[in-house]
Amino acid sequence: MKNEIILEAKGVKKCFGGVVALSNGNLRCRKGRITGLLGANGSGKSTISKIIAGVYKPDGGEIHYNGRIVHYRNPHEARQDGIALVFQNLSLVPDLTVWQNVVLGIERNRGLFLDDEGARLLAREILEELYPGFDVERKVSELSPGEMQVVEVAKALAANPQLLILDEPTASLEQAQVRSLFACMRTLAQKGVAMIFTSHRLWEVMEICDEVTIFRNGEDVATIDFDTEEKDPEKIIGYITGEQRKTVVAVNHGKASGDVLLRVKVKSKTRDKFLDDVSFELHEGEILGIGGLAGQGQEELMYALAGSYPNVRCEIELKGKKIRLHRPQDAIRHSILLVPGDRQREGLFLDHSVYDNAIFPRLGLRGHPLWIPEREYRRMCEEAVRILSIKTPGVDAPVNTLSGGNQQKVVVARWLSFDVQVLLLADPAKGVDVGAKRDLYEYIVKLAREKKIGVLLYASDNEEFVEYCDRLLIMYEGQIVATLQGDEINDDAITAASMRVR
Amino acid sequence: MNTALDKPRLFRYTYEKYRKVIVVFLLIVFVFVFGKIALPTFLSVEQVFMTVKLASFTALFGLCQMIVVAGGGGGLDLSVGYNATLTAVITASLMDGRDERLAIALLIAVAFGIMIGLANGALTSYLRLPPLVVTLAMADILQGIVNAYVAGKAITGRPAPILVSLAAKLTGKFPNILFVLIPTAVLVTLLLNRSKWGQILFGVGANERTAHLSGINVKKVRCIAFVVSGVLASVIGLLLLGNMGIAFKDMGSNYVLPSIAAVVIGGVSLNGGSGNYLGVILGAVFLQALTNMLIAFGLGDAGKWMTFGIILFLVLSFYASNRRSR
Repeated sequence: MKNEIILEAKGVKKCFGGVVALSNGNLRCRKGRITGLLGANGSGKSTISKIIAGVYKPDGGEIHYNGRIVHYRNPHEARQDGIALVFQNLSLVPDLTVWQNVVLGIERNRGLFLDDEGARLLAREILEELYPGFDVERKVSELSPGEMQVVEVAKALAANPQLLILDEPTASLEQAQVRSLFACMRTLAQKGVAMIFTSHRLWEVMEICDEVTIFRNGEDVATIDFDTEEKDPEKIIGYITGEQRKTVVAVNHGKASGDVLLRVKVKSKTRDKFLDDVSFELHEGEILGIGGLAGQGQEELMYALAGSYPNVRCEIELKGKKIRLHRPQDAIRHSILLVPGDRQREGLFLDHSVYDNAIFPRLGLRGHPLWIPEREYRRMCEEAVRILSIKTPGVDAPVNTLSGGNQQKVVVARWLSFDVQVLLLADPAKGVDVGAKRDLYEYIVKLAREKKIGVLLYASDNEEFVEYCDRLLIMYEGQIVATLQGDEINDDAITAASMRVR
Repeated sequence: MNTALDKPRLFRYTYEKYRKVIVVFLLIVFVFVFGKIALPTFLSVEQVFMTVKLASFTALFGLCQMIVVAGGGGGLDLSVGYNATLTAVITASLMDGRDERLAIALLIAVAFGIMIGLANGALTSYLRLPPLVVTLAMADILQGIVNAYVAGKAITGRPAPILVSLAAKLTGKFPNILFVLIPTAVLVTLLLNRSKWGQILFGVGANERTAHLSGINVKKVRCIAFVVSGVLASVIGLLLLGNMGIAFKDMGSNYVLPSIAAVVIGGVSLNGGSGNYLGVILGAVFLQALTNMLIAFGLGDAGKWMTFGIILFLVLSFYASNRRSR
């Protein structure tokens, strides 16, 4: 009974608006076994778990569950059928108490009213196993992210699932909580519950899983059964990155020969998951990459250097002089300029014209005259449009009429009239077409080389690091864990350094 | 880049910006022409000037409202009318009909305005309380102070004659209040469109995160917007006193909701990030003209208000449908 197949996904396909997320996904789960899903960002592992749990509808393929083909229209149907998903981005209601959240959606009635006492008891029972001493009467809004994740797991368990899908449940947990989660998972496995577990921490997967299935580019590329095969991290990373190496010619691997431009020491005031303890040097004319898995503190580091991340103590030296970065004004005054990652949310005023957007940062400068020198600024703006080849009918066109790539160029254009010393780029090519991406990077490389400015680059796509970085720092849970230089900067090395950390 | 094809597109963007102003203007013309059917004297120079004069105070309160609304973050100032009442009640007895006391009255008005505005601004920006509730509470407190001040005694005093001639009198057929409103409108329009203050205010309203990362102190800007609104409201209180000749308990409160309506009809988004004072003035004139027309048609109180409300709904849904189709 222990090895009976409970779920089998065959040839599952899923597209999101023309982008193929999953081209051929196959997965098998057995009772009482924990199956690990591995893969890089965007490999399709998250998509297939969500399809199984009924969050997405597949575009093709079959899912067999308990011997029959199932088509769930929503997670609720799947949950009633015994498939529970522990959400990665939390699905709890902040204003309800812990126990109310745990039983949400499976409440039982007692007469006209809900059976509150029974629900409390159930929640307490489940949580006692996961996290002894947990107070079920607290409101979810008062909990820490780690505690919320525990409640999320408890909520999934309350439905008494036969198949439990845990999509990166450990991302916000502390070491001790991970231990108790694992202990609980083992107990469940003994009771015959099948589990799908994803995590970007390789060691966790190796520790808890009985077998792993590896996804790459929307396909499953390998399944390794740890009962019969040995746990070989090298081999697994090989599957994750792909055997054949991408032949990207690295043009710009110059040596960072310039003087030190920026010396950074960032330490969190309280223990901060996202930005803990980071120090490095940035040289004149250097393009320094900040890589690693998504969400390891790269963007927080950018905000800290832009003066907009309050929970850190920064010791920053610019050209040997100590500077303070408490507010964005401070960073701008010292010509440390941020091109934020989410241009629509933090880089632009979408309804305003290209001109209004481009000149805006100047208005906040100390001693800016009350009346805007319009003729001068218009000339400046038209110049910026020309240099970056922004495709717009004119500088008075609203930014929201431009394409994504051209919008991104407008964000860069805002800083063009400043005397840049350090440019902070947070994923500048996200959602930008190939042509605009090349324009943008060519301009930035030129700027760095000619004007001797320092560039700090975070990108979600490793290829940009390979192509443009002189040096690459790898971040993991708010710390720098590796430095790659010159020819070491390639896709394999980056992925290995990003994942193989304990 | 500036090909011949792009010219019409750019023209369209400019048109989009002023479309609502044009619409309100046409609506006003329509109301006057339609009103003539009921009352032959409805469309006359005197009648038009009278309407504009009555609308001036709504338009002035609308300026307070527009500044706070443009700063975004759900900005709204419900305390403006009560602020004006308090200023009027207190300065009336102080001035007692003498021009030489006007300077002191003005000083007191500005001081009141700063205090009330700072309280509103600090509570909303720095303590992050919702402007709707904060300014509503402020309105209640101010009304309470007025009630306590006038309790058991008649409100004495008259405005300075200068105020009376400025707010209530006409020069020929031309209402003097327009000598205040028109220069204000020109100055405000210039400040909004050509100065850094206006552009910073719009930026903060359009996207506070972008403004913050661009080096703008968002909280300070929003707080100042409330202070400006407070000072303006107090000074409007003086003009209102000049217009009425005496101060009374709820002389300003009736303007609060129309001032918000004027802002919306003038095409200013309550989400912040934009503002057009000409539109707000026209919005106020439209509201006044509509009221006059409904009275001219002899509709009773019930009919007047109901029709008024229905027409407001229609105008606003017209705006909304235009936004959707874009």
